[in-house]
Amino acid sequence: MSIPTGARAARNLLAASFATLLLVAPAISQDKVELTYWNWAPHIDEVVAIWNEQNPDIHVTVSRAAAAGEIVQKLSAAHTAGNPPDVTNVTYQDLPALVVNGLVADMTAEMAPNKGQIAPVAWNLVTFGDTTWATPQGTSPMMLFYRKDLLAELGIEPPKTWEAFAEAAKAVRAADSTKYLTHFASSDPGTFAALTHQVGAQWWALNGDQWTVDINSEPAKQVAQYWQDLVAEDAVASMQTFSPEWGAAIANGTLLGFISAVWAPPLIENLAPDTKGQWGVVPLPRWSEGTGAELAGGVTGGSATAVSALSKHPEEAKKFAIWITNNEEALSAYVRLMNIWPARLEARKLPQLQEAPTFIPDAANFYQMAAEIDADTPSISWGPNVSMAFDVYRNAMGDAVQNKSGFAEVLDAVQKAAFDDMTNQGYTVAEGQ
Amino acid sequence: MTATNTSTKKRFRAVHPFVPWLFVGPAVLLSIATIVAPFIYAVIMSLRGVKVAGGGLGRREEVFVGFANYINAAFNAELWTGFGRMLIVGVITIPITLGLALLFALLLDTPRVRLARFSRIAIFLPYAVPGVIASLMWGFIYLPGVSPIRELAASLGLAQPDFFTRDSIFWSIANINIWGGVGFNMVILYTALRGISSELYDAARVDGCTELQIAWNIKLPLLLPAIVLTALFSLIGTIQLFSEPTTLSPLTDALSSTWVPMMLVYRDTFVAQNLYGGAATSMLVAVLTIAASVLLFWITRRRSAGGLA
Repeated sequence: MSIPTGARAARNLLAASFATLLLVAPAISQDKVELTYWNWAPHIDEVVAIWNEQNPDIHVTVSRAAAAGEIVQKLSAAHTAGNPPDVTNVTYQDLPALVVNGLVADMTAEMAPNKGQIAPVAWNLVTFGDTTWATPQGTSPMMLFYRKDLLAELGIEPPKTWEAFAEAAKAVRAADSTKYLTHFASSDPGTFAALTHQVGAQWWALNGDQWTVDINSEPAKQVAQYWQDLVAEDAVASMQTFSPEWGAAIANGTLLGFISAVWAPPLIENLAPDTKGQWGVVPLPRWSEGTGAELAGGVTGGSATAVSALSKHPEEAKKFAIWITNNEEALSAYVRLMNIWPARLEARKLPQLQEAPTFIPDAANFYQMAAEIDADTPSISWGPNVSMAFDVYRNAMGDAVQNKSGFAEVLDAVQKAAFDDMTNQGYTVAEGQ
Repeated sequence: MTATNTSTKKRFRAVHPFVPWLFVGPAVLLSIATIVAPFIYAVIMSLRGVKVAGGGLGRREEVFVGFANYINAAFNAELWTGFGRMLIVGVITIPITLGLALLFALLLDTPRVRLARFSRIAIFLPYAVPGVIASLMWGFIYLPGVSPIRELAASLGLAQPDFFTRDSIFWSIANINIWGGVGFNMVILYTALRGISSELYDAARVDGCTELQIAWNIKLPLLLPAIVLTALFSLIGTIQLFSEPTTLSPLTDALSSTWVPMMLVYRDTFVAQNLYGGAATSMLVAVLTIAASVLLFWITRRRSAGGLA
């Protein structure tokens, strides 16, 4: 009749485009697979973008639904609700819990051809018995990061042994009572466990069908005692890693050091971008004598990629999971953005791994150092109740730090809780000697 | 008279018996879906448990375990220590919150009070801040390294207060609850005060009562039912104490993951992967909550009935 008004024109347009959508949508979904991928890493979408560009048929959407520590509970919930992600990142220590709850798919067949190409330490973390449940991302060469400028100002050398570390920690306190060499976090069982791996501790071990839980071994208790002495003497700070208090202390130079692993530079950069170029890095101190003197560090953090047991596209999901942890292009993006040390052996020759990390431009031999540390890192495995045991550790260690005593007894408490829990669940389990 | 009666009767009879259900239906459906069904589900879960089947890592399978979870929960020392901590927080929080709320309500209700509207909103405002946000905010105020209070103390040459020791943490948590709770309770009490007939006050004034005497002899006794109500809310709020300590716990080792009963339930269910044990513990907490509420009602009803008679 009359000329359509603006509103009517818009409505018509909307109706038309909706109709087009309805016609086109089924055509797309027939030959294009949509996968969802849970990962908490900050730059992960940039890595996934490479895949999406190269694989127009399999589109992957990144979701940050769960943080590293929440993966078991959120994935169980999503699984129960019937819509878990197709692919998920999972820390090595949480993988066994996903397996026993039936949340992840068996990847033994797909991973078999890669076996020779994956570092044995990492392979061991994703394989239980003869079954491989995930594809490993990287390993965790442990290092001590320190403020080069401030330590030099105080005339203190970065320590090479734990004995020298204790001296250095006390020297820092003596020289400037506002500063600490580093902190001891009651909330960080992952790092503490790794420090005990260095003296040969194996918290969980699986031999055939027989589990051994050995958290309170004598060497591990000695490590606990070492840290108790430092905390009791106020030679190290006690704050929680990644808390705002800790972030402020890292940024303003109250804390001069950070015991962590290869991936720490981007994390420090996030907190203290102004300190770029002022950090130095040395391998983790070693014990100069006794058990484990030959070991460079332990297994802390690190993650693998697993496929959901309920994925509707398991083939494509496994393909993507293997790509993102093994493909050269994916790994070089990972190294550039997140400073990982890849589990895939041939990727360790990537050109990016011959350079210094951007945040520590002086450390030209950074990744060479990582390779040397990695070679001296023991192989361990995690058990099915790590999150429970770690929680007991946090509570007991929180008490111990406040009382400045009883660190070794914390390990007894964790041992008892972990052992009892596994016995109650019906595992065949023995305590360590 | 008779005519009116019959017409009224007819009007009532005209209502179909189904109609009342129509009115309460949505509420009943909602409470079935959000309260009754989860409750039943939790009861079922609390009677189950897991056993691992197969060798090696194995696979967890759900089995019926009877009352084993309840026995474990009842003998769990952490639960009762948690109750103890909860009681301490409650003993600090409830009297101070209600005392302040009552004081503010009475002050706002005095004649010729200035800035009443502004004060009322200012006191109520913290209640509008969600508990988790409030805890985060207070967390930053408490946290060494970023705390403005500690900084101020340092710049004045005073000892820096430590809000995160095993003892001071009770006050730190209670403070967040009081800060958030005073406004809400004040509004309830103030509304109740406005409902009191002003004739009573006039009579009292004629008899020579001061404002203070009016508050003590007239307002307080008449407020008693409202005070009981706010006490009940506060009590239930204390038993459900969860978000404040949970939000603060990553900041300090003064708070364990099992600090109060609800945190223990969360820990067991989601961290220790024991939904079944968590369900049993939460049932136990629910029973105790109901018992405490009934007890409080019973005591105060006897008291107030006696007092008014």
